[in-house]
Amino acid sequence: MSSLDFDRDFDPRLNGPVETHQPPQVFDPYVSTRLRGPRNGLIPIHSGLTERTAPVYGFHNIGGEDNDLTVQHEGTPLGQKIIVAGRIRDTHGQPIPHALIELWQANSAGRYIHKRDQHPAPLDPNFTGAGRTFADAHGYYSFTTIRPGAYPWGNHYNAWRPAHIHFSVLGQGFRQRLITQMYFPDDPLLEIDPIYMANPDRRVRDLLIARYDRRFDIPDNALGFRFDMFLGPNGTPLE
Amino acid sequence: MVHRSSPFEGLSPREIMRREQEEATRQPAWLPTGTQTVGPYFHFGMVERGDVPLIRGDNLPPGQRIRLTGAVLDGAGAPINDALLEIWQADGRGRFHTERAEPDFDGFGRFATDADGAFTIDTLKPGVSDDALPAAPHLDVHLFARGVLHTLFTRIYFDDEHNQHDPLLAQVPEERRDTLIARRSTTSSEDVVTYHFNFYMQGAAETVFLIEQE
Ligand SMILES: [Fe+3]
Repeated sequence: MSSLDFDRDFDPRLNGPVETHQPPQVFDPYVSTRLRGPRNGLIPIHSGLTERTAPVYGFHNIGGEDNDLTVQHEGTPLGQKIIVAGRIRDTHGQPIPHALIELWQANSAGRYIHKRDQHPAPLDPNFTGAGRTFADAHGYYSFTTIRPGAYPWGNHYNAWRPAHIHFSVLGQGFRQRLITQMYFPDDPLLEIDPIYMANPDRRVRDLLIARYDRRFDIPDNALGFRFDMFLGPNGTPLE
Repeated sequence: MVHRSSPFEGLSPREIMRREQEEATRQPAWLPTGTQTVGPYFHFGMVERGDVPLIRGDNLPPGQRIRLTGAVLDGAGAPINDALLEIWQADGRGRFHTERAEPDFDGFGRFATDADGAFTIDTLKPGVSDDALPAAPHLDVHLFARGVLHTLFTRIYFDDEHNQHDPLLAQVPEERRDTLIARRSTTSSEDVVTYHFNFYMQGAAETVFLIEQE
């Protein structure tokens, strides 16, 4: 290799032919898919202008604290403070500028502030668990938050979700769109999690795991994780 | 013309590497990030202040006010009370508001289903959009829910429009096109025309979901 391209060299697992294997609509071990996943395949179409256009996402007044989930309340939330940063690109490697990125997560004890979450772990009065930001002109984004805890769910006996952060990304066209979850390295719960494992391609699963990245550390304060996301090019197919 | 056995024959190593680099950036070389379910707790992350309405005030572009009601139902006919619909549409003249966020209407909205799996979408009826081939009035929809692993995408059309010439609908098998058409309700008032549309995740009337192809 003639020169080091940071984004290309950052993870060798990224390189390879695009034969994406997105999860099936119905994945039996994830019980909720059984009655909710469409049984017919997706109908292939040539899309139109509607799919290639999008508004200037202005519905959130995004402020300075919206990408720092540790300063949204009077006190400091409990738990391990982390930086989650990365880059939004399309599958050609082109940065997607100004994408709207939203995230939501459980607190360090594994409890969501959401009213439907009945897990009897404590709420943290200093942590809501929602953040949003825009990627910059080169697709880079950054959040400051707390490492979420694992939590139990009702899928099967003693089922636990591995620690994860939910992400929503809106790109340059309505169909340049991603809903996903970010996981943490070396989590033994990953390989027994029906949601993570629903994706049949190991390489694609690996890419849902953030990497510890010392360069993003705030010394003596926070640990850094890198999480890059790749969306389909606008106006061309996702897979 | 000289026959070349390799596209790189006769090129210097430096030129070969330069072209490789070019090739690498031109070809799809990156795996797309895998999709995951939105889970049951998206509300505080994506619709923090309640829904993101399409109509946010009185300062609106021209267009007929409409109300689209319906429900999202699972394979057993049970309501899905944790689904999220994301809408993108043209205004009444068929124009997409891509330039800047309009204060009261830009064609983008989000609607979470309620305890009965139901939704109510108040908007302007989109016009015939100014596409390469004119598209019949329609809404673009993403449907997210717990138990939905893909980002599901479809369009909603209206039964009182000329849908037979729509270039996208023509690509959907004829016997399933009906699943993408909202029905005008007889209870429509003159100010607001009401339509009804259900999402059926499974079963005989399973809603058609779409994916782009080359
Ligand atoms: Fe979750």
